[in-house]
Amino acid sequence: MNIRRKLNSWTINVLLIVLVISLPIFIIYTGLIGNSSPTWDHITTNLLPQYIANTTLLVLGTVVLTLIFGISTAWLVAAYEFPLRKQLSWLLVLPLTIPTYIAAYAYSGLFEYTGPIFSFLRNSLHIDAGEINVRNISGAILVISSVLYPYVYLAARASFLVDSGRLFEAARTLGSTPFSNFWRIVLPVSRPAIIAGVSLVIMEVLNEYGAVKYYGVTTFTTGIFRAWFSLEDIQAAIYLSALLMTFVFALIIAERLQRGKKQFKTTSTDSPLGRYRLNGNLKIAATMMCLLPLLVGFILPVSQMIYWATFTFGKVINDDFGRLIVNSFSLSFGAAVICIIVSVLLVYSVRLSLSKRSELFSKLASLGYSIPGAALAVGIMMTALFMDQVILRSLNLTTGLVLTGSLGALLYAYVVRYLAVGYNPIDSGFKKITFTLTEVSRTLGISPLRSLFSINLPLLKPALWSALLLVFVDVMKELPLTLILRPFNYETLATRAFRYANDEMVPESAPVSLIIIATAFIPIILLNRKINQTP
Amino acid sequence: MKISQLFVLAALTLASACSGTKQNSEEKTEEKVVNLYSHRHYDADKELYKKFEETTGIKVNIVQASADELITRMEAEGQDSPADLLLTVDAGRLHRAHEKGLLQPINSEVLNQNIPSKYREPEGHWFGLTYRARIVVYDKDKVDPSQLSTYEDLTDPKWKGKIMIRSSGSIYNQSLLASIVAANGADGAKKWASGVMANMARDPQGSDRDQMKSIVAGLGEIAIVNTYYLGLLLNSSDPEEVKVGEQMKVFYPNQNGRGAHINVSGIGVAKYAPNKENAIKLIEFLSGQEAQKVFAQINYEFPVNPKNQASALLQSWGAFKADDLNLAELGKNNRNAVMIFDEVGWK
Amino acid sequence: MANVNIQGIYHCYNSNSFELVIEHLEVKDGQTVALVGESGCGKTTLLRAIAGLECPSKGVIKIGETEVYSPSTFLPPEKRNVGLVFQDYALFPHLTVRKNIEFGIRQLTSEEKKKRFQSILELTNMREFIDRYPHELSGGQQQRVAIARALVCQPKVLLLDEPFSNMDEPLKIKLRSEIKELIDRTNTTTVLVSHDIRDAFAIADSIVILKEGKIEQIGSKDELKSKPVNDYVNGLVNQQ
Repeated sequence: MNIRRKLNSWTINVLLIVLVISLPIFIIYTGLIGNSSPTWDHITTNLLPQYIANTTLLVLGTVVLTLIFGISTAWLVAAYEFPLRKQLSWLLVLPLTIPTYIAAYAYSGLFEYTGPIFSFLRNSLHIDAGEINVRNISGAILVISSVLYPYVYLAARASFLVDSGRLFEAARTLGSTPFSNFWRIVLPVSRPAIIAGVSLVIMEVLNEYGAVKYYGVTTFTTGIFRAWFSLEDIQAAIYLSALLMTFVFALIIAERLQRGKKQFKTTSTDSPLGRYRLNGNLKIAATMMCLLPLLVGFILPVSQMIYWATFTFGKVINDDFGRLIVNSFSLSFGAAVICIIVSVLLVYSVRLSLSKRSELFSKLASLGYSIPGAALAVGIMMTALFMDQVILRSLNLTTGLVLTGSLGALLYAYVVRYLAVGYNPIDSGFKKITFTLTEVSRTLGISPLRSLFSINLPLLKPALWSALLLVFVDVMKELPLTLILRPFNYETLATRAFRYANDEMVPESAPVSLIIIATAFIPIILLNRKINQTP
Repeated sequence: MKISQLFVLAALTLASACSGTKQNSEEKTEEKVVNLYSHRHYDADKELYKKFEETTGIKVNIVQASADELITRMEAEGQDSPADLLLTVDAGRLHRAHEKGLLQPINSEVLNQNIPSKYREPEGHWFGLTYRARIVVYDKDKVDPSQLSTYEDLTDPKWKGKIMIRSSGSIYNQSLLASIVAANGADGAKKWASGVMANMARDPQGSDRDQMKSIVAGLGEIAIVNTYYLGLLLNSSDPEEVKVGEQMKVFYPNQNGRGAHINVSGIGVAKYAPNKENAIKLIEFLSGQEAQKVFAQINYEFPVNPKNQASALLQSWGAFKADDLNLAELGKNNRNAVMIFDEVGWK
Repeated sequence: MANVNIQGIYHCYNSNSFELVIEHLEVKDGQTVALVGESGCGKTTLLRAIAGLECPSKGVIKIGETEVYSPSTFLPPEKRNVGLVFQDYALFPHLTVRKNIEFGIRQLTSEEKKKRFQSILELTNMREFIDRYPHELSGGQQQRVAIARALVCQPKVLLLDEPFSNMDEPLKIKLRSEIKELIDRTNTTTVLVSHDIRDAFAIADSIVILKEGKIEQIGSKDELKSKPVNDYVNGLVNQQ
């Protein structure tokens, strides 16, 4: 077999991108080689069973809830006509703008003794009802699901509109009820997209730290931090993250397999599906159904934050706020665009490399999403230092640290972390474009790169926009990487909100959180319009 | 927006990101600066740094993150680290940084005068700037204070179902248990932890403030919290929180024995500090009378400088005897304490 | 126009049980050759190898005087100047028929572009739907666009992959003669792949019967009908 031929330039492209993206991960895992750690026994006997139990419960719970929230609303919005449908179709994305830990604080605040509900009961109605304690695993599941369901919602809605539109209409003419159509046709056809959405949820949950810590739920992530910082055993922390990553990798492969078996391809963009008109009570019920997740995931926590902000607004808002907004906005936007460019190049190279192995290999690039932010930050730091100290210095280009502590390193970190978020929609977008289009374009004498621009990218537009949106919002909320890697005196909205919350000054963090939400709000509206416009 | 426009924007973002960092590195050489890695992050701290800049002409550059992350960063950066100072909110972390060889000893007359010896590392690797106690607060309507005596007494069955405390992930609980390890040995500490576990009103969770709120909500009667959290409640912008604070009374434990457990916010000079002189100046400034007044009051803590008086609120809780244990011991016993928590199943 | 010369092509599949082995195959200038066999016999792989979309394990492929594939060279598809028409036509769904056809000749001068475009319009007779989008066309119209798009580049060789597989019988018959006429009028060297021997009979000058990656027989319609080398070929060509 001719090796040179197999390693065509596109395969090399894949190799290069994956190498650059996964370098920090490998650097962390070089720590795996070494003596077995002294506290590992302690962890496996006293802590690990609980980590596994809690993490499993948390994942299962959020998967079920996000599926219920996400699919039901996406289906209603896609297939029925009811009051406020148009507004709800983009409003339902909004919970994504709330950082999970902020939602956790808000919910705890809402239902605690001094919160607005029980204060009102006590002071105005003279009913002392104590408080409702949400700080437990069920509370964590509810809070996390209520802000993460839009991942499922977005994926499901896009798929309902595009993939199953025509099939659904065909089924309609056969006279079966919408309900049975949904179960027999729409759901099976949209399953790959929905599972892709759910896997984003799962990875976010596995990564979740702030909320579970506050709610006293011990999971793998809290375990990693405990091993690393409290037990001072970085080795054990790496073992734990290796376990976690193995699980995530298995998940990725499983998702791949279920998608691979059934290739649903629509050759052309379908017309959107004709909506059922609902009447009377059903109409109201549909509106209510869609309002519920919006209420739980957005209106309630935001109301609590507004309530807090009324006390603290004047105290917290000062003149450097404009700069915070600019910082957050440009970082998020820059990172989102880079993520998309890298994702497109990666997916396209995989397709052109004509190699199954490079496809599997490319999956390594999404691993960054599964590593706890703080651990990844260290990997990035070590990579940046390596480049500064070994490469740049030996070439005599610079002295001191250029990359380390620069925005460049921070952007690099974002790309490593959030590539998966952009990669998934773009990958499934590419899957919907038959590859024969590129092949035909090449036989017409157009180079692969130009084919990308004139054929694939225009067809990918909806996927590109939703990838941009998702990464943008994620970076906007991102915390550990920004905290550790940012340059001196550089603050974003998220770091500002966090430092108040971290000092148990949650009410003070409310105004900043509200601005994060508002800042993420604008692109969501704009991008959502874009997504809806493109056929 | 066209896709090509996106690319242009991305290029611009990248370019500005790179040029931004260039400017920063140029600044470093021209200006008089001191680079601070800080776990503390109060808005009012900034005012102090501004004042420092006005009087000395030295600009304070800050990176704020958790102490653990900052220590890891300093470790990784090694000799190239731009950090001059590490500021943490507990002695355990400073001890860890010292153990890892990230700090250098400083011998300054001013500091030795401003800071009593028990609040600083014997060789001057780090200096406490403020301190606070981890104490018992109780519902003034439900608890007879004569029933309270020591931390050890909290394991007595009379408190069954009445104690509220946060999870063991908190460094404050770890330090408290570390001080008990120092006083009663590992076995004694384990007995204490399981005894308190047995008396808890609910699973450990939430923050120190949350414990006090839940007491007023009727879930328990006493809580173990840091002094300044009560101060924060009493000065909250939310009137409901003030009410909760007013329902609480402070009890300093072990007054007839070793004293109440205390911890410090402290600062140390980095081993490879590029601006060592400026760094010492900043510590001297922060431990000075003028700054101490502000620095301690921001967070309702006790100033270490004996010339300063605690705020009126802290004084109103009465004088107390603090544990004389050298704070470096907390750091040494920290890991042991965490393992004890895990063994007894304190989440 | 040019002839296609294939020498000692060998391709090993990961999934199939057999290998593709073509010792020698030549398509003469202006000739139409059909590759016929059951699905999975390797005929599409061979076609894709000529186009440069598949990389065989060894051998030599020449288009005209150019070696497009050999142990030392691999010319990418965009440099081979071949026209490929896929089974599903692969029209660009976001472009109108006009844009689809102009796609491959964008780099030409506007005058030359216009000339080519006009002549292909005359040949294919699709003036009435020139500004429509692909999904607004019928199957036959889509095929005509796909062929026009390939021919407008004046390819050295036209490759047709199962062009009639999705059609009903009357349309098939009509389109076969349409394509035959187009190929003859432009005098294009053509390789056609089909599982249906009748496609080959209707269009091809020479027919290659493939079975499990190996050539069973090469010949004209009459030669195959009168002198099949074995039962397999006989069964295939004399099936009616």
